[in-house]
Amino acid sequence: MIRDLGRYLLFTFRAFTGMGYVLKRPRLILKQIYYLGLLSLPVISFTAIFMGMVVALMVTYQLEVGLPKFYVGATGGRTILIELAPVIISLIVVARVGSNITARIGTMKVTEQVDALETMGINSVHYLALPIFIAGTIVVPVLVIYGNLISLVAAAVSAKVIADIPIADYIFGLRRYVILNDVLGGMLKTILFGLIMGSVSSYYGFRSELGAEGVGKAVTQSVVTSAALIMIFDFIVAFWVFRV
Amino acid sequence: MIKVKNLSKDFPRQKVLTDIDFTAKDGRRVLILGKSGSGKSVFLKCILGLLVPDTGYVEIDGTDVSALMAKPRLKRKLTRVRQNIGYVFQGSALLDSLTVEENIDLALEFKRLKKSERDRIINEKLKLVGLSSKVRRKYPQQLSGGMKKMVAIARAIASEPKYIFYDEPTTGLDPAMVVRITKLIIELSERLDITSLIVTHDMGLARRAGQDVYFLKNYTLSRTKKSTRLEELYE
Repeated sequence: MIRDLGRYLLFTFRAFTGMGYVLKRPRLILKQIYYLGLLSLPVISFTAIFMGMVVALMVTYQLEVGLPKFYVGATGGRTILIELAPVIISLIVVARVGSNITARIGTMKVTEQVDALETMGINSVHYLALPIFIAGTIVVPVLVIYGNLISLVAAAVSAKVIADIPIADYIFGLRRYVILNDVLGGMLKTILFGLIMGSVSSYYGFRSELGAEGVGKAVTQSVVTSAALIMIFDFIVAFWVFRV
Repeated sequence: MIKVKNLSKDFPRQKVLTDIDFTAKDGRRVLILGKSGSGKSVFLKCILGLLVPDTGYVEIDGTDVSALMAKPRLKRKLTRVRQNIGYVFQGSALLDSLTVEENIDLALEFKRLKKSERDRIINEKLKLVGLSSKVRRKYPQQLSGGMKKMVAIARAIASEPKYIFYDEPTTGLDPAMVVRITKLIIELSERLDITSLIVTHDMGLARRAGQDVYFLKNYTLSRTKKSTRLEELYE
């Protein structure tokens, strides 16, 4: 495990040494932003709507013990912004995009496309992996901001429909109790999660063994490792930013 | 000139190449024959450093490539050597996500040419391999196996390399396409004065294109005499 961690860190370091190469070719990054970001919007929208609805449902359920109605906006909003949206949306991106990146690079390795790049004098890690790192670090936070907005609206609407919580009360709770630190803390996580998703999925793609079975195994390892690292860093950042 | 001395390569629990000595003189078409799985492609990849040999010495135009392979910090020098070599992979290895022109353009990347110049070269190379410029915007999955091979050859010659390595260039193609590719390999080596290393077990290609012939058997490579019937090597 320690050897694998060392290899991963070395791979990530080597990828970053190609920053000059990639920045001269912004098209490589834009292509990945389109692929990682725009094509993820439908599934992110769907997830965010249901996430908002479930949060509203769970918080209104707790109003039974005599809590005020604006509590839905205050607690629901904070739950979405600090924890649920960053983690769930990042996990969705890992499942949708991370697995695909690993499979894509793994298949390129199997079909000798990676070797072809090297024979043409192109560093395959710089060409294939670094644009994904950069795009992941940009796109995941943007997707989470988008998911936050959709979720908050979905929570407000469902609180109104399910428990007749006035929208004004919801907004009051949100504005009164959600502070800038909540939003920034949530966003800080997503930058880290984007980098984890991009680097881990590329690493396992390059490490995949030949053959369909090897690629399949690499995809599983990639998703499991990304998800585990997201949970670990979620705790570390939460402990650092939100410790009372 | 390419010189290889005492090259050995094993994979876990699998012996592949042992003490290989090999020379490819400039301008020659050198054939490397051998049964499937005998390690022919591994040998080509060891020369280029795509696979690092366990032991041995590889020299390309006076550069000790084996020393460059051993040290990752010397990768730039190895890259410079590779830029003088075109490689036609067995499965063509065109990048799926790029069009034909983008694939060929990749080989020109290190030359830092203007877009118009690169366009001219792409058209010229496509024409040279017998493809029209209409295929430029197509993706590899829209091409037949033979056309993919042609594009792979166009990509390999785009940077006007001194050497081309062909890994099973005619495998899986129909007879007409085999003849076309064989002619093309001979024509390119003569017109562009390219040194060709051809890994194959296609006897037709071997007979027509081979000038120097090596046979890989029992992990070692031996040069065959001109009088040897190629079929006898496989018996």
